[in-house]
Amino acid sequence: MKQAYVVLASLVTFVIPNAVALGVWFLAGDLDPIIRSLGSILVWIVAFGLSTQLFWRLVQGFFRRDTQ
Amino acid sequence: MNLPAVAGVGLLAGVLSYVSARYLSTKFVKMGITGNDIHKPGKPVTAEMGGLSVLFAFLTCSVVIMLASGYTISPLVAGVATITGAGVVGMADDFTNMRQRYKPFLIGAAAIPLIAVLWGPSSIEMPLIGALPVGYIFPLAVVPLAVAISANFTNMLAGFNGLEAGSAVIALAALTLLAALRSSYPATIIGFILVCGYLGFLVLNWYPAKIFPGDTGTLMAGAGIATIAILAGLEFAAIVVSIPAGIDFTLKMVAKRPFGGRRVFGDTTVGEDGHLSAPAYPALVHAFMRVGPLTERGLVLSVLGMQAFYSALAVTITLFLR
Repeated sequence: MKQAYVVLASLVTFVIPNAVALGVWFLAGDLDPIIRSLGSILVWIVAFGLSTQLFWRLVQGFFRRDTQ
Repeated sequence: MNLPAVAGVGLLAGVLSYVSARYLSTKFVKMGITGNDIHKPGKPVTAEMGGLSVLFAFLTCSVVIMLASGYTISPLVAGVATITGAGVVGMADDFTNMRQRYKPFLIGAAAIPLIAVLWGPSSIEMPLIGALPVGYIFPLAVVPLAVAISANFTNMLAGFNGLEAGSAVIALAALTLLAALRSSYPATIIGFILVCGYLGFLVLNWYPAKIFPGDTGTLMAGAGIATIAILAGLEFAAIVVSIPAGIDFTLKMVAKRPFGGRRVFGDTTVGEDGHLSAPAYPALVHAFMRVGPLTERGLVLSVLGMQAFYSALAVTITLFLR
C-alpha cells in the first residue's frame, strides 16, 4: 500500500526535531535550567517546521518517481 | 470510584452522544444548520455542529462524576471547564464563522481554570531527559498555548467523513490509557468520557456521514488532548499523538498563503469513480492523495492508520523510554 510511504516519510518530522533538541539539551549543560529547557523547546519547534518541509519534498519525490 | 461505575458512565456518554447526534442530524437540517458534503457526487446537504452532542454527553457525565465525588477534585472541575469552554468557542465559530486569528486567544482563555488549578513553578516530563524545569512559564504560557495549539491542530486536520471523530478516539484513548497507568484520576475520567462520547458520535459521522462535528467537535477534541496531557504529566505523549495534525498545520502555515490555500486553489475534487484529486497546496491529506488513488473512505482509513501508528509510538515511548 503506497500510503504507508507517507507514514514512513513522516518519521523525519518525529526523529529530526527530537534528535536536534536532545543534542542542544546535552550541549547546553552549563546554562541555567530554565533557559536550557526553553532553548531546547524553541530548537524543537524550528526543527519540526523545517522537517515538515523535508517530509513534503519526500512525498513529492515519491509521487514524481511513481508517475514517470 | 469503582470500575463498574466508571464503565457505566462511559456507556452513558456513548449512548447520550449517539442519541443526541441522531436527533440533531435531522433537527439541524430542518433548522438550516448544515454544510455540503463536498467530497461526494452531488454534494449532499448534511447537518453541521454535531460536536454539540459530544459536548452534551461530556458535560452530563462529568456532572454525574462530580456529584459522585462531592466536587472535591478541583483538577477534574478545571479540566471539564476548559474543554467545555473550547466547545463553546467552537459553537460560536460554527454560528458566526469567526476569523482564524481570534480562535487561539479565545481557546487560550478557556484554559484559565486549568492555569488556576496548576498555578506554581513546574516542569515538563521528557523521555531520556527527565524533568524540563520551566518555572512559572508552565501555568502562564505552556498551559494556555498547549490548549490553544492542540485545539487548532485538530480543527485544521478535518473535512472528511469520520476523520475528526476517529482521530479523536484514537489519540484520546492512547492518552487515557497512559493516564490510567499513571493513576491520574481526573485525566483518566475526562479521557474515558470523551472517548466514549466521540465513539457514540462516530457511528453517525462515519462514511457516509449523517452529521459533521463542526468546530464544536474539533476544538473540544484538541482541548481534551491537551487537558489530559497537562493533568497527567503526559506532555511528550501528547506531542507524539499530535504529530499528524501538527504536520498538517505546519504545512499550511509555511505555505505561501497560510490558511488561504483552499481559497486560492479550491477544494479537493471527487471523480465519477469516487477517487479524490488534491488541489495544489501542501496538506497532510493531499500527501496521501498524491502517492496513490484514494476514495474518501480510503483516505480517512489511511490518516487514521497514521494516527494509530503515532498513538502506539506515544504509548511505547512513555512506557519503555523513561
